[in-house]
Amino acid sequence: MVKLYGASVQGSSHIQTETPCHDSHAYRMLKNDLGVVAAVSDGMGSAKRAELGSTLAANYIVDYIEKNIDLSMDDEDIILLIKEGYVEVLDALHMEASAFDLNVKDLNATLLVFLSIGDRQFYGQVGDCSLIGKNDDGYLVLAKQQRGEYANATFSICNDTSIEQGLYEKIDGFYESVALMSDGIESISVSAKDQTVSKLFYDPFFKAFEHEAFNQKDVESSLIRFLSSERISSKTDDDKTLLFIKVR
Amino acid sequence: MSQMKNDFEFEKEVVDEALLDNPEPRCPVILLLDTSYSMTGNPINQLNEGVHALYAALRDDDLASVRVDLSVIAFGQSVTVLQPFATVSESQAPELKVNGMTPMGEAIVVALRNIENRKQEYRTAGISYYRPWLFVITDGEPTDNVTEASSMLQSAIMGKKVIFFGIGVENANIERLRQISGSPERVFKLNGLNFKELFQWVSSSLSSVSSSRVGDTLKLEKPSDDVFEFEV
Repeated sequence: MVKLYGASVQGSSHIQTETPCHDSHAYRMLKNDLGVVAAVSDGMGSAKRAELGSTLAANYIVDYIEKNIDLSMDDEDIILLIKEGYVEVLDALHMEASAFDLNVKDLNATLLVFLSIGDRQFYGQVGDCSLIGKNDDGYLVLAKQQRGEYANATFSICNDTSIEQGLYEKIDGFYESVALMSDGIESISVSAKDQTVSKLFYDPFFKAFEHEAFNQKDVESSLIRFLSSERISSKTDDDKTLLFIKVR
Repeated sequence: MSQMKNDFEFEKEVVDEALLDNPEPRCPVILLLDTSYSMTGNPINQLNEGVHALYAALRDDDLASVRVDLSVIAFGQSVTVLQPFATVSESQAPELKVNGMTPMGEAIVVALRNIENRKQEYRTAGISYYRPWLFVITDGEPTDNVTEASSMLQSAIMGKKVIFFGIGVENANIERLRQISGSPERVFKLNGLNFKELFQWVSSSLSSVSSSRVGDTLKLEKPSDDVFEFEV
């Protein structure tokens, strides 16, 4: 039985400029308790309606994968399905853009998707969101990031080349506990130098699943309070998304 | 109910030591300044004031003050690194003094090498960085051989390794600077000696860059007339 909780919270820089939260997250449980598909999307600061783009991207891809996934598919087919999901997202964004009389670039965002089906796990990555997994020794970064040489050259879903060069992979091993996040949270919990994940940061969040009173709504309220707190805003002014999943 | 809430107080459970301090991304910037004799008097005074104003403006911007990694190199009697790369929060504007000729070729070579070395230092330290900026400000024309400099600069600009701006003051040979850079659209003449206005523009451009993302296209008013658009 999959358990999860998550939140996307507006960063302090966006509160100041009265810009909506550009981060979104979404998830769907797979039929017959086979697993879960989850996504995090971070709208680009330069995109006029980034919040629309990231919401659509995250929801569209989990819907697409949930509808089309089948336990009998082999690894290669699943990887192909995830990549198709990105292409479909771009098509959907084009349609959304014309419906709102916008340019598709106005909806630009990054997109990370995680799929756990049976005893196999996969991810798709266009951009620089993060996926970590917990094992006996601590935490590991599971998804590579698609990054250019320069800090502000992020890859995004409104670009065919970025999707073509995106990362679509099977995860080595199986992780019962994973977390997806946008780069605002990665910057305060994963070392940029050697990719070490802060155990002290993640332990309390995963411990919540073990609690007998675990209740998604209450835990999410606490997560929102934490992400909105002054202590976090003083460390990162970016929008913040965290989505915790206990696959089994 | 109150018992349950206490169990999920992440604000308390995530201790201060859990939050990592990753280094700020840096935007390396070199000001390559002509301090030859012809800059004597008002021009060097105005240039000094302009550089001070740039430091002050960058210090006023929370992000730029910790992200803009600024180096000042003078070319006159020799090519001298007056201020090695440092954020304005940890450095001071250097004082410029006139002497000598205009060894612009050597200065460009030194600047481009220093940029590459700096990038290597960032990579070793796990610091991400923005596309470097290079400003050349002159009131004359090179008095040394610029063959190597020109070829290095043109390939750096073409390969998007550097964002270049050439600024000519008073009697500067603008055409020569355009030839050297191979980017005529990135070379312009300053109105009079209005370095302050120029450096205000530099500062606001760098402030925009230090909060930019995704290969944003910056749209900036050039200190002369036109609007400038370029990818960062």
